[in-house]
Amino acid sequence: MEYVLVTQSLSKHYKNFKALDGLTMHVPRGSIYGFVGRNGAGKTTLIRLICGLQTPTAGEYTLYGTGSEANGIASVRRRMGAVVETPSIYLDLTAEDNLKEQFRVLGMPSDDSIPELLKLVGLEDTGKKKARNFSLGMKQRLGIAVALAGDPDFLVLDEPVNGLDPQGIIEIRELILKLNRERRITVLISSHILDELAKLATHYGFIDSGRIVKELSARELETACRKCLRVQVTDTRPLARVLDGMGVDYKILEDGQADVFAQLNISQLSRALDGEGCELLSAQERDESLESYFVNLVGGGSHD
Amino acid sequence: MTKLLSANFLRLWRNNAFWGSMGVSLGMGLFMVVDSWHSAQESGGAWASTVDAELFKYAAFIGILAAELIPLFFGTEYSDGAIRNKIVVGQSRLSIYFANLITGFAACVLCSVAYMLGCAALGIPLLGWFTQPPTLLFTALIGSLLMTAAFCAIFTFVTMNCAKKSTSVVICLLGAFAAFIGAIVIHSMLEAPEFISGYELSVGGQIVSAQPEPNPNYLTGAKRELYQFIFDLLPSGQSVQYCSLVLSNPVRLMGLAAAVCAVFTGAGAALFKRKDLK
Repeated sequence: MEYVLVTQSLSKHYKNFKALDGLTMHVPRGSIYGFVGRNGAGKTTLIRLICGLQTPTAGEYTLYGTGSEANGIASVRRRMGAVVETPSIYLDLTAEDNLKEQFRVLGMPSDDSIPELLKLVGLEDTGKKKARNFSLGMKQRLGIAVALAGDPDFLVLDEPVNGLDPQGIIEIRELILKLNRERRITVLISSHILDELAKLATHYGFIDSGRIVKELSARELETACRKCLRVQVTDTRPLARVLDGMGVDYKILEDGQADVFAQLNISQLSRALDGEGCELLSAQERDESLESYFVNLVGGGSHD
Repeated sequence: MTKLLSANFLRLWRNNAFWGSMGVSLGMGLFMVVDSWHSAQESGGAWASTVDAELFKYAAFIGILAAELIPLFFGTEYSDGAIRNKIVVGQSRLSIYFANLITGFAACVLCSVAYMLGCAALGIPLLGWFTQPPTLLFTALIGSLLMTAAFCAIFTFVTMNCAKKSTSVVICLLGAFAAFIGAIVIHSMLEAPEFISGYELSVGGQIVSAQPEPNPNYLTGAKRELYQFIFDLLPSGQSVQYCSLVLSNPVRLMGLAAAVCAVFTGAGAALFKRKDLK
């Protein structure tokens, strides 16, 4: 798999506080990578590091295969755009003027694509209205437009739906999906609003106390969270034979446990196992959401 | 860096603080001439001024103007977070620092030009043609530009290394006023007479002067040299000199202004390069 961003044992310390503690993560090309963690887990710190706003205390990262200490990292950054925390826009300028500014910073030969960009983020009718008079959602979309000015293929969004109303959340979600599907932009999106993230992400990285606890694809997460019947038996080999005979999907776990992804008649299963010399010890229905998966992964305690 | 300069100048062109400063500078230039002309008329020519004397009075306020304009203009990059847009797309911190320094200096020079244009446009018809030798005027022009660059280097140092716009505005303005007060105090100490002439009133009602006595506040020796050095080193001290067109040592003034510029720019750029941005 080709990765846009790989971090290797990345650490960032502020005096005695370890904001990142040996974080290793992989963002595949073309993915929408959901970066999940509680407040203070280190999401924004990681984003600040990969955007070049801060330097790591230890470890390194690679962007498109170029190391963070390599000479070419500045030119590789030209391929990315980011909205870190609040939208980075000049409040005393209009949407168009903000984009003109960024076009100059990037050295774009012409401003011709500005109307198209404004249309993409739904700000084509803002005219001479200054950005300070925009709603939070409009500011957020302008921030994304500025991040898209250089036609990047890697977009980093830090908590993009924070503080938005339901309509604003939907607009940002649709925009991100459009950018990913139509422009094939890889998106790293940090959030602690899990339900929202679940509607977007193709890959997940769960961070806690400055470390990645788990990285997995949406499909793997779906499997992990799939409604199933967790059964415990004395021996999993006869269980596998029985389930194969029934033609149902299952996954053998350790210690005589297995997850069965089908609605089963427990009496029928028990009789079949009995015939194989195996005993059904327990059966429990499981239905895990992203939220409960996250809580199980990082623990439910309060974060300090 | 040309990309950053292009972006900075585009924003400067649309910036109200900049145009306000230009307006104030032009207005100051006109006001100074009218005020001098009015004084000359009222005093029957006893207080007559010249256009050259008024032209370089810009040196007195350009420091205060830079202390207001630079943190307001570049502090916005921190307060609005827009500085991140430059770094994220790979612009180097040194380029950002130098582009901001150059833009700030250019803005101050444009304000100075606005003052001089206003002053000359009204001053030449009302006060007459220049009276000072062209070499002195040219030296004062180059020297005062270097002094302006020194002010810009100091305020860029503060602004680029202070993440809060309001804090950098306060530091720059207070610093500028403190430096000017300090320069005026040093100037008055350096200008103190060596002897004080006493006066006595005789019994017959006639005023007769007494024997001059040495002034205890008169600075001498190494102490005088130190105060003169500080006066020449401080951009505010230089502004007092350019303002009156009485220059202690023009080459030394230019050298010290260039040194202030180099030290603050070097230190500021080094600090900014290592600064953790949010």
